[in-house]
Amino acid sequence: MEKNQNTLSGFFRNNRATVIGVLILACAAAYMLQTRYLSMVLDFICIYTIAVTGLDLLFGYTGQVSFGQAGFYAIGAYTSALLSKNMGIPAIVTIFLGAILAMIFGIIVAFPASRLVKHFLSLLTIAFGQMVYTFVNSNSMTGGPSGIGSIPKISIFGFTLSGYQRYFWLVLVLVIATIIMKNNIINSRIGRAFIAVRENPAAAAGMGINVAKYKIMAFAISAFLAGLAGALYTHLVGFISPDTFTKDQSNMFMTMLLFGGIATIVGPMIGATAILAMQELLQQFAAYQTLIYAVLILIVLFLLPNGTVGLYTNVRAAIAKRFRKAREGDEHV
Amino acid sequence: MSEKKDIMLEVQDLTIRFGGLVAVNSVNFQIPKGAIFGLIGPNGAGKPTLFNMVGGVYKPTSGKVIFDGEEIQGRPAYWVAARGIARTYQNINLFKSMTVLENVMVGCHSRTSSGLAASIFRTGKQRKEEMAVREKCREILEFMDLGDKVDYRASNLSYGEQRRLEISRALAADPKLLLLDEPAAGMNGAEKEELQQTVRKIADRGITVLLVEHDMKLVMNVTHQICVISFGKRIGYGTPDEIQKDPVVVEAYLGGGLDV
Repeated sequence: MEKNQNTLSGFFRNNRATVIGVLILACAAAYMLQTRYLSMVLDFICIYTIAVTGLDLLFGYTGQVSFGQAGFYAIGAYTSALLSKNMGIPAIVTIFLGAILAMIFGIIVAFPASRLVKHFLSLLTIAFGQMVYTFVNSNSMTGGPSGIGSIPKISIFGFTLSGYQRYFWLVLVLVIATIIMKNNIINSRIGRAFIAVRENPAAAAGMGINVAKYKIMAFAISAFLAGLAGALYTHLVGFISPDTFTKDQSNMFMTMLLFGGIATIVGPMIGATAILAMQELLQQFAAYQTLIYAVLILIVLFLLPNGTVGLYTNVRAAIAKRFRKAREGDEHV
Repeated sequence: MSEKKDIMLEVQDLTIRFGGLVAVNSVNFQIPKGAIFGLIGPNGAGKPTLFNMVGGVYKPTSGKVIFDGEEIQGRPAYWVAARGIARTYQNINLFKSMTVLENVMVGCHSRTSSGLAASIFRTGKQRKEEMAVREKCREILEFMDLGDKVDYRASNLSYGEQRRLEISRALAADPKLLLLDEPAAGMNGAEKEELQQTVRKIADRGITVLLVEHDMKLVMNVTHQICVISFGKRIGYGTPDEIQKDPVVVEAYLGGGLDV
């Protein structure tokens, strides 16, 4: 099992699944980019993947539940919209300012939240999401119920990302950066501290891990990513109103995460893609959206506790076992 | 004062009350540097409570815990751990879904320093630190006879191996003082024999050991000094030989517990 990471062929051999996966994704993306509608779907997949990846670091890795991610999503969206529209700051800068403000709110929420577990934490995060919703819905600065329109497009070096196809390259870069960031975090000392906090907070503290600090850090990262996703949504759609930032949005992120598979690298992407595809295909049943989420969550909880990724792992293990048995059988004969 | 320098842990008049119950009542003892120190007592004596006050889990009502010349009572557990007190748990507290190696790597947490930014950008320093941690943890696992189990899930280890993994994880923190909370619980004779060797090997590395244990034979064989508590009070203090001859201690155990 000597791993050879130095040569290119060694890299391909060791990461065969990743390489094949990326190629398939590239082909699918190339196909989807040909039409305007599918490009939009692609943009949304990337945006949701960023938000759900943040939720995964918080919930999947650190074990802190949040049903208030729409609150951070809204803070990122409104901050970026207002700063770019009213202050004239370039949108490519304001998306990060929105993410940073969301992160600051994440830290503020995390101080009380880091002392709570399970249903108490769920309630706190729901309350936070509702507070943000009520604020943007009733404040004149955020346009109240009618929201904010004609939000500037993002330009990079004078090149305006006006269409869905062009926007894709920006969100693609950001989604790749997000996934690499997540991968690097979870394979580091910080990531091990997150998992230790999830697995056994008392033992984590006994190992010198400041549990509250890492819980707050996870909240900050997840809020940053939710805020960034919200800001990207804003400049893609060009119009925002409080309707987008209800608790349904928080529930959608959670459904995506559970459906894709928690505490995995590709889970959020699979979940975002699957749920978004389902939404698009079942558009005439939009009124039943919450019901559909509920059914999906029940399916996941009872049948796929590790999400789609877990299903893949189980199936692969089962096939491998079958093959091994068959081979052993041959040897006996 | 020069005498104090040789003391790793000193407990002074340590008391804790839970409501009306005095669980630990002004207990005193000193653990010299490099010693293997035993804390024993019948059931309900308050051993785990005392232990948890040293480890920062409980805050004492009064009294002092002085670790290597510094008062640490009332400090949070993570702070105490970072100062150099590592511990194992009576009811195994591993990170079950992690591998054996990862568990030990978590133990290195307070001896490493790479922050969030360094981890995200995989700086050269961070990668070097990560490699060093890996190397060190493999060595510890080799030392604890778990070298062939590094990639196992912690939950897939046998009971005795899980106990050894707990000790490995504690050793990864380069502790000055190691607290072992009933490490022999549930072990068979052979495993206990092995544990005795392990505790000695750890002491040979220059680590002071505080051992809370029910198994008298183990305690008498391996420790240099013993403190006996019963109903929260210290009733005996001395070398294993002295303890075995102490009529008060024998009385507390009703004669039965001390057959060595």
